[in-house]
Amino acid sequence: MKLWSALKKTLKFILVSLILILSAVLTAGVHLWHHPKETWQFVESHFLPPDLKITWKGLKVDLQHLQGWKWSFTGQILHLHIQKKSPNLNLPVDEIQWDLLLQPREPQKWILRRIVLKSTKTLRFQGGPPPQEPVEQSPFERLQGFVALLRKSQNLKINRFEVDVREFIFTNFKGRRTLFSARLLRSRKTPEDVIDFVVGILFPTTPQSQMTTVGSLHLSHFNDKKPFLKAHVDLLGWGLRTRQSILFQAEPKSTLITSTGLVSFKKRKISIRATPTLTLKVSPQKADLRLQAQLQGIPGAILKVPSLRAQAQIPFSTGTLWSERPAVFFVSVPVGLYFIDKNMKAPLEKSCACKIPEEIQMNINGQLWVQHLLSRPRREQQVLASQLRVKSVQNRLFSIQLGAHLDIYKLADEFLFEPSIRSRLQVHSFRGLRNYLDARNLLIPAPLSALDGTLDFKAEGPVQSGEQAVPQFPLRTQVRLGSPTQTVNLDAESVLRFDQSAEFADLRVKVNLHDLQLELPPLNPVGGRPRVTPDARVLKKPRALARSKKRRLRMAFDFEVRTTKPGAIRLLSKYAKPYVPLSLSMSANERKETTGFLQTEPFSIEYLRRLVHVEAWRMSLDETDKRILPVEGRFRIDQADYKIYVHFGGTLQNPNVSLTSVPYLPQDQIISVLLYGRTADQLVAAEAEAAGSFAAAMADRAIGFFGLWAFAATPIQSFSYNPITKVYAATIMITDDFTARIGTNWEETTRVELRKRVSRRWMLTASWTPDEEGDLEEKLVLQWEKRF
Amino acid sequence: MWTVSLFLASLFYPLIVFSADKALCDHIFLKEGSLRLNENERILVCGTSKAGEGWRHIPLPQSQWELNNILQSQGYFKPRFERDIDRLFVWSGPRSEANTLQVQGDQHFLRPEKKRKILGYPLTSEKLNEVRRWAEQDLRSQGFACHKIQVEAHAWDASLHVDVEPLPRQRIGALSYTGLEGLHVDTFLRYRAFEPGDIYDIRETRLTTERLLADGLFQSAYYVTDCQGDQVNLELRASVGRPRIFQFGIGASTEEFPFTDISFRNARLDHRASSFAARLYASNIRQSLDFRSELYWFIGYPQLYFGPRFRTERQSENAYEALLSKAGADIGLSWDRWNIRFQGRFGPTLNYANTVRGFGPANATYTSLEGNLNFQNHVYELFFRDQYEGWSGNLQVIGNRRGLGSEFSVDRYDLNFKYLWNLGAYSPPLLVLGTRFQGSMVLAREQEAQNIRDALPLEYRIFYGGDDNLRGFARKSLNNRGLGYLTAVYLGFELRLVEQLPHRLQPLLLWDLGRMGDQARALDPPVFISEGVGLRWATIFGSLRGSIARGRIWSGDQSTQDYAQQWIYFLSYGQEF
Repeated sequence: MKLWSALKKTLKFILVSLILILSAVLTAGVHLWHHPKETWQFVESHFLPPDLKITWKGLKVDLQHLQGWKWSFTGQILHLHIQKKSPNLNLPVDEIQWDLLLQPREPQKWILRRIVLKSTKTLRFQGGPPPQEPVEQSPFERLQGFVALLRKSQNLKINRFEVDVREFIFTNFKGRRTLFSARLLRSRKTPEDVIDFVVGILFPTTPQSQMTTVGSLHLSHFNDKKPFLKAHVDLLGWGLRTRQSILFQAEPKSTLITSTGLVSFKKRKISIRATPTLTLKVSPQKADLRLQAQLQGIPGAILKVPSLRAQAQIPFSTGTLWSERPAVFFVSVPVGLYFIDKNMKAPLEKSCACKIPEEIQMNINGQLWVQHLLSRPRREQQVLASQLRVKSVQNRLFSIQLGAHLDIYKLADEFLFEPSIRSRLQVHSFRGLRNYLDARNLLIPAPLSALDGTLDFKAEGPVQSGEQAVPQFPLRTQVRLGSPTQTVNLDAESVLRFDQSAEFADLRVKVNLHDLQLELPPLNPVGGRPRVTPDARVLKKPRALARSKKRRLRMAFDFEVRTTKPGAIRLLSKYAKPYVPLSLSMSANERKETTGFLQTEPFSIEYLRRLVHVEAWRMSLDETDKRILPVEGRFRIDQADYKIYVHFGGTLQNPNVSLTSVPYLPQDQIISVLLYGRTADQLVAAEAEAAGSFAAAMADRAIGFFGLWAFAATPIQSFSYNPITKVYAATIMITDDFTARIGTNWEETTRVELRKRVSRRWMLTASWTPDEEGDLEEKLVLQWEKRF
Repeated sequence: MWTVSLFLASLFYPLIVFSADKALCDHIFLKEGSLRLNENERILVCGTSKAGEGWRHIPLPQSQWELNNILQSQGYFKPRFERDIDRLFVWSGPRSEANTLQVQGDQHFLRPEKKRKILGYPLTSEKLNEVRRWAEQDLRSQGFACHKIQVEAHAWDASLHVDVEPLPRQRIGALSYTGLEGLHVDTFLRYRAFEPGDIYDIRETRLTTERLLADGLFQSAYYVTDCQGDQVNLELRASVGRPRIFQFGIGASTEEFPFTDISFRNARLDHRASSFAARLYASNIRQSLDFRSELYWFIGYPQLYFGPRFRTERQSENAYEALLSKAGADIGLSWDRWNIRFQGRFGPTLNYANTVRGFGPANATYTSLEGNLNFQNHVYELFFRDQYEGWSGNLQVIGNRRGLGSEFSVDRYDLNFKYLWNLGAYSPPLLVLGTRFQGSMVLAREQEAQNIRDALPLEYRIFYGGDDNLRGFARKSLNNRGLGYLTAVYLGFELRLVEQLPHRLQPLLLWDLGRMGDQARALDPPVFISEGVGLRWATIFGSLRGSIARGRIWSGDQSTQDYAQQWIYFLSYGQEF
């Protein structure tokens, strides 16, 4: 009884409480119904965060009894505006409409029969920082979660909906803004249960990039083998333009994603077109990726990549975003040897006695630690281990082995690249190479064309990342060429750098010349000036145009050449005894600034009847970019009882020449001895005159090196110089009965007397002498002369 | 038969194919254009069996590259090459011809519109050199001693460009000398064609050294320029040879063949370069012995000299034969003014004349005063050989006085003047118009000259005809029946086409007009005219001239009946208009 009494009290209390609560709720409901604005203001001021402000201009709600335990709850909110300061939120919505079917007795059958959300104004939302401890899920789990979410939409009891957001700007916590637009539409429920959607995203890049996805979600296909999500993704930005058809297909324990379509990439001068077919199968343990693509326009100076095939396996571990195990990938690229065209192929095959393939296979395989790639490891972790191999080629002419490694490590956000290369090109027959190049009308000039031997180009070692992350790798070259009289023996160490667009290469070469013996052309000093070098004064194109000439691959040379021993360069000539020994040290940078010198070691020049000892000759190469070639040197000519020294200074183009002698003679006397083997007082008038003209021409710098040598080395018959035009003309005796002229324009001489020496003292003279009446008297006289 | 024909055709096929081509080498053929390789070019393009292995065979690409450059140096900027295995075929393509010549920075001292033989000519390296020489010469002649000139050709529009460094015009500053070996610097005053402060002109320094060398004073002489802003300092570097020159020669001249010429000259009797010369000359027409000296004794007047002279000679011409001797002493002077060279001398002469054949005094001794003044502008003097422009003149006076060894007083005056016009002032000239005037007159004092004509020495008789004046009449054929004239006036014209024909051949038109007088101060009515054509060939040993001219006489009278009016042919060596 006591128990009942106590229970009764309790029940009363509960009943009263329920009545009170119900009354309060009813009162609140009635109040809300009749005073919604006041009620909202109350809630806003007492329950919502102070920086949150929600306003609207119109609110209509209606509860309509349909039948039995069915009610329809409809509503419309016009010009809803939600604002919050932190996180920054600004959501002006034009209209929200809903129609909810209420069935209190069967809550599971509540149906949102229609919902409409329209916003024509810009919605803004600024996200906060990401959570410190993100939920660790593998990509598979994330994908599965996404698919599960889509599966759940099966349960979403929405018959019709229309979401239209014109512009939604999401600003992340770093301030980067992304612009979305979205339209989701289900006009009616069909058996396939399809939701069409259009999502547009405008990325904050310069210029702007945008992605538009048009697709449909087939809710009924989650349980069969048909794709549940079909979408066309159009991406325009970052130089990319693509339209990809993407299919998502749910399998019992995996998800299959396929993507096909054209991708084009255009940036500066690079234009790449690809038609990739990508298949990605994501299962709990791994993701299998297969990619095949046809490619056009992969940048490369000499190679062409027409297609590629790639496979990758990315392992997953449950509960972690990325597995600690590495992803394994393999890329197979056939490299088209397009530079070997049909004109080139036949001579090359003839030279190498081999069959040149259309393309060679290049394979890249390796491992990728995705976890390390995407995280910020606190200690150095390997991200990539890869290697590249090109199928080797070997034949009688050459053999090629190409291979490279790339390891990447990461520490925090820094990537450390450790590329290395292991490649080698050996030319077994320089003559075969020459024959091939000759057939291609490419030049290996004489006298090098007579050589045979081997060339060995080896690129082995780490590829260092130089300035501005430009890859560079070492290249060692060994040249061993020879012929019965010529030798080329040199080693070169080079570093080749490419810029990222592969349009510019910088080659730094260091050449050690051990032994270089070449023949000089057997030119005749009086055989006429060969006009085989282009006349720099004749411009074929305007300078501006010539500079802007487009090149596929621009090369910059930065080189250093030196002989490893004095006189390592030997130039063979019948005039040089025993040869012209040269020493060279020269370096030049990419700005064509040079330093160094070229010098001869002592040798002699013997021509006709004279022997000239080149004691020293040195040309500075410090200002070759300005075309200034300072020279200094000394020749010695033993003439009569004198040693005549010819000292050079000035520049190659404009040399200063001074003469000294042992025993001492004045300059004019030296010239006399130099030209005629006698001092001035022993010369006949014509010789003295020629010697004087020679001195005048020397003082005027009208005689260059060649002329000076020719005059020093040959017996001069006559010399005439016109200082007005700086033109000289000389006749030198080649043999006893043969003379040759050096210089030009005998006719321009203004002397009124011309002489031709017949013998040492006999002279044929033509003279014009005005007589006393001013008339001309011309004579041709065979004359003997002596001064005393 | 058919097979044999085919076989023969195959044998001759290469011959047929290549016969139309010019073979530059065994394996390089010129299909179009013309090209001549010099010895060294042939080595570099074709290779040579005389060379070592390196240059025995030249790779065809190298030959092509070199030929391309050679062709470009000849104005072929679009050559075409075709290779057939081991043979190379070359098409020179069209030859570019210069169509504009533009000059910059020259301060309008250059006149490109007057430069000839450039526009319309192939754009070759030689043409660039020629343009450079032209610019150098013109600027160095107008006050620019140290300018820099850049010459360029633009192949795309066939234009030539001369870029001159804009430097101030320079005047001659300090003068210095080296190598004089004791010669007084005043010596140079009589040779110097310029003055300190003058606008620099390389032609005048050149002229100075030419004079020095021609006088035999120096073995060599040249000026070295030192540019200092708007001034150019000149240093004469000379080399004095041994003073005594002995020469012996045999040869030929335009009028005498053969001849022997023996001379001795001491060009440095003292530190002012006083000189003494002796000369023995012998030819079939003339034999002479000549002594003359120039003694620069007048301190303070370095251009003034005392010139004793002695000459004895025998002349044997068609119209006369005479023995003549002269001994005299002159005061002479050489100086330059207004770009004109003046040389004058004047002094008494003791003459001896013995006319063996023809009219003239026999065994006569008399005194005379002789004066002579030559003047010519520097341009004429410097480019004397070319005969392009400038002028020269000569005034000569000779006179006897009765009582001073002569029986009568008689004077002869001669004036010669020649002017060469470069019509249009082109460089090089296109047409040169030469004009010359000669006027001669013999005046007697106490009586009419014609009355004493028989006794007049040869030098007082005027003979015309020949290459010197009326070219349509034979040499000295207008001689008034051997007596000679006492008055004569001559005007000659010659229009010469220059640098148009190859080998420096210069065709010319000539026209001469002359009147003579049998009496002093009076010209007779007959007018003598010559008209004709000629050709001048400028060789390195002088000019050869030939002319065909017809002599005509207007208003002829009794005195001209003996003169033939006919075509006269002259071929001369060294003789100029």
